[in-house]
Amino acid sequence: MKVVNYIYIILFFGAILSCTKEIDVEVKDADPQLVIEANYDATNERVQVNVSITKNVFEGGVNPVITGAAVEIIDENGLATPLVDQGNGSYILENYAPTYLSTYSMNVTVDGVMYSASSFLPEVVQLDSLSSIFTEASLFGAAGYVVYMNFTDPAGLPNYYRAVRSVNGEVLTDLGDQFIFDDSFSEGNAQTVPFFGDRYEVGDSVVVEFRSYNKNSYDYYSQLFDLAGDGGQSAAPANPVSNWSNDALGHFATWGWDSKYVVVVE
Amino acid sequence: MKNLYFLGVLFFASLGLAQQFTVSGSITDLKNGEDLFGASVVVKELANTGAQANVYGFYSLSLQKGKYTLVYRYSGYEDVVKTVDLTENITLNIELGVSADVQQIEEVVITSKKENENITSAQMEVTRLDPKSIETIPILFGEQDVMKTLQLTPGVKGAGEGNAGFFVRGGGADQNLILLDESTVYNASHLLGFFSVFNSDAIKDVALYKSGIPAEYGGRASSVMDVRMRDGNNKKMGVSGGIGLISSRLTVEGPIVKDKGSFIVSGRRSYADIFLNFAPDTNLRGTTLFFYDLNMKANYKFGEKDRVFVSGYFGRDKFQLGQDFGFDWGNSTATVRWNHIFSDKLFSNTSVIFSNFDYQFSIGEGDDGFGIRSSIQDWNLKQDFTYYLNSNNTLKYGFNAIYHTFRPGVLESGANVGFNQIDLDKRYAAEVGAYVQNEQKLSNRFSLFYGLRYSGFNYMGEGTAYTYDSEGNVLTEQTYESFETIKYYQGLEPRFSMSLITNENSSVKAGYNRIFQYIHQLSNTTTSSPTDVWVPSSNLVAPQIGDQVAVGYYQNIKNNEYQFSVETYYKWLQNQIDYKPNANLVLNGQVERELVYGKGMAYGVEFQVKKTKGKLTGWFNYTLSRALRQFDDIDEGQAFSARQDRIHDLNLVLTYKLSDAWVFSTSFVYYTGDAVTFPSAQYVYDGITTPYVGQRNGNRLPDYHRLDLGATWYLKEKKRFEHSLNFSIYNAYGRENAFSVRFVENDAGQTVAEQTALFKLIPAITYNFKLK
Repeated sequence: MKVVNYIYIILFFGAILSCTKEIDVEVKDADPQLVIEANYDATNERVQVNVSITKNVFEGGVNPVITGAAVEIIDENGLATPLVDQGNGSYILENYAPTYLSTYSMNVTVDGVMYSASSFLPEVVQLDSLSSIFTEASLFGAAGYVVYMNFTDPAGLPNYYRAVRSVNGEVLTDLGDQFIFDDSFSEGNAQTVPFFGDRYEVGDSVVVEFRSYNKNSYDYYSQLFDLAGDGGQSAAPANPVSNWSNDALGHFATWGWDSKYVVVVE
Repeated sequence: MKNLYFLGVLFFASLGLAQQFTVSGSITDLKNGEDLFGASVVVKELANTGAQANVYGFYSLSLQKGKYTLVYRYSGYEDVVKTVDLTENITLNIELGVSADVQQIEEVVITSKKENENITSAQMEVTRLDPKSIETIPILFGEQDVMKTLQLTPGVKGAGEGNAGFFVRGGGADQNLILLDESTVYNASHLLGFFSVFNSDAIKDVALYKSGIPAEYGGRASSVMDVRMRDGNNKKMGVSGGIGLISSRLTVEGPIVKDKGSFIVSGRRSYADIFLNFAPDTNLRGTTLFFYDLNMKANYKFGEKDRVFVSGYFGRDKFQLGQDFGFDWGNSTATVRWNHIFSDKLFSNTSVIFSNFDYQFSIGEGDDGFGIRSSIQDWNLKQDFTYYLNSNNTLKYGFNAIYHTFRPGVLESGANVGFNQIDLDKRYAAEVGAYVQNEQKLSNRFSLFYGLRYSGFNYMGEGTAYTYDSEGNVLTEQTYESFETIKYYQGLEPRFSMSLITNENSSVKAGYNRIFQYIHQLSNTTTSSPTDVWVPSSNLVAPQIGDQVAVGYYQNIKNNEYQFSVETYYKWLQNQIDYKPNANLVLNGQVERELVYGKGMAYGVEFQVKKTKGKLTGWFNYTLSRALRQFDDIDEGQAFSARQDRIHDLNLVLTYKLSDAWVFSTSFVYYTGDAVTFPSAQYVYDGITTPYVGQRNGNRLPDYHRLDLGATWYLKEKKRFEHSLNFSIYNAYGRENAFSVRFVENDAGQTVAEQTALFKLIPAITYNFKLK
């Protein structure tokens, strides 16, 4: 409900009276922390791990990367497969065939310290189609076409989704474009879920990669997006809960996806 | 047990055996018949002997047989002197008139009912305000507001601009019991805290207890804000009102039967949405955004011994943005009271009280929309007795029982949205209290005020109680029938304060209180919101317990013209609540799994100087304080600052009466910036720049300071009509105080801190009138 609050305050006071400016504030720099971003894209049969460390808040540039780590993924039978160090902080394994409804583990060893995590690979929920409908201008956007995802939430168990869209060939990666949701209000229903903030024109092509996450990954990304977009509004700000041992930041996620494509027509 | 025994001995030791008679009655305002709560009667022949009128204007004074001169007085009123020959119990109803020199403009800024009550009362300092006495103090948008003015007094900190709520001595915003004619007000703010729900035209008096809290109050761990509505003029009809920049007010009052009963109806409505029509964003035009308040009260005396009051409050905020977004919330309260005088020594009040708070919001409409609503509702039966044992002991005792119904959330969804209809289980609880307290004078210099409250809380069915593992998964689940106890909590709450008058103009006081708080407000944003959810204590949530000791020294000089005080306190808070990362509190039937528990500590010292007489009046206060919290789940159990841990806090309020026509005023506020959490490192994850959160509240917003200016022009008075114009400037030197600080990337890709400030310099004008 931060959203409700925010809309309200910004609308009334923000629109009329408020003002922003850059200020100098003191922050307490923390020691660099290890960050492990690990993803097993089961549909592409591809494992990628990025290892880096944090940098100071007011320091520009990208995080310093860690090369030379030993990274391996382990299936539920205990079979370990190493990833290939790309020399730029990335570690990759291709053509790694999935077993859905099984749990994978991963070990990352940096400077003799091993960081471990495990993740369950849920079944993939199919995306039936995308559709577009013309919508008048409102608070949420200008007049234009809104794209809807049509799918049926499987009944009887909780499901967690993330939708990544590409518009005219370009993947939307900004924080404001992240779209993650669960079925707690819509368990077992046929769904039409809009990207309500996006307004498209006739001729735009939209591709949606519709990922099925486990609860742990849903929680992690929800916390991450919340924190990154928070702007100091949370009374209980906290780092996303990592599934790595030994206090590494980051997350090991295992997921598959379905994809659909639509070209907006009148 | 030992303490109880000691108190018992003290109490019985003070029962005199000589033949005594009682003089009792009411003390009211000569002009409009309003009860004068706190008016006093003193016996000229006996040092430090007297009585005070209670909130219904009733007083009772027992004296040995004899002739006495009784002086009735109330600050700002002419004394009335009566001589009595006490050979039997007598009734004396007294009417006091306003003295000539203060008839037009009340000069006293903070009223103490007796000029030196701050010295002589056994009760630790109580902050009292009445709307009349603060009408010239400049306030945002010129809207007079008792709650805003309270935040300028020591130990009380406003939650900041754009924020409802306030903090008393390091306690949480939900730890203040806010009562309107005895009814709990769950959300005391309009427009997210820019205004309080208390329409000054309908308010008689506000008292804020922050230490040595009397045993008659219970249920919130930090303070009690007791607001009383006016009874209405029982002499003649009157109409008054005001027209302001943001809202307008109208009040009608008058007798039902002259001197026997009266009524008052007071309404207020804002028209803030007019401004939105000038907004640059055309989407904002045509938006509905307003609030209203309606206060109603009537009372009637049935004979000499019985009086009935009926009062109600209805207020609502409404916000509607076309068909896209709607949000509204409000309080309703109703109180029916019956005063009965059993004897000249025993006064009784019985109240039946209703309170409701609810909010709802909707997004979209019809088949394409959905809405969520939630509410909390109370029924309360309350019985209080005051027994005026003798001139040295005033005994109060009573009980109450509240039935709470919590409705955590209902989701109603249009056919095309794909959401299920959700109606979370209601939760039920009964909260009971019983108390006895005595205000006892041991000698002319030494007084005690002591009491004990028993409180109990029955969390009951029907419903389901869960337990969770550390990751929030359900471990056990048990269902309960209607009225079946799920969990019962109880506690004994000792209350104590004492005063030692060191000489006529100075005293030392000390107090202790313990209070159990059984219902809790959950809010995981730094800005309070109507969607903040109230939850009962349950099998998982233990009651909050607040303990506080306080010591104060009070000194009046120049015939009470200057009042100096210093108070110091230490407060312990148990079973405090905080949140797991990304806690979801809305429409969550299992909200307990989002919570973590810890404790709080707060301590400080408050200095204040008040000037109560003369052309220049006002006060200055400085508070040095800390407010800390400690949770095993946060920062590995290290103590951290609560957000309101403002170490230095300073307020200056001055009112200068230039002439009968012009009064000028100013207030200045300075405090240490709120404790907030800034990132202490940064990393890019999944393409997103993510802050690394360091120590909770380990950073500070920039310091806050602000100067407000006001002027009131009392226009020429006609025989039956008086009117005035109030001008004010909020934030006169345009300080940009930080509402929030965000870390954002600038165009060069560099992370910078960007602050948002809400208000720079807001001028306002208000016209007030009164038909007599």
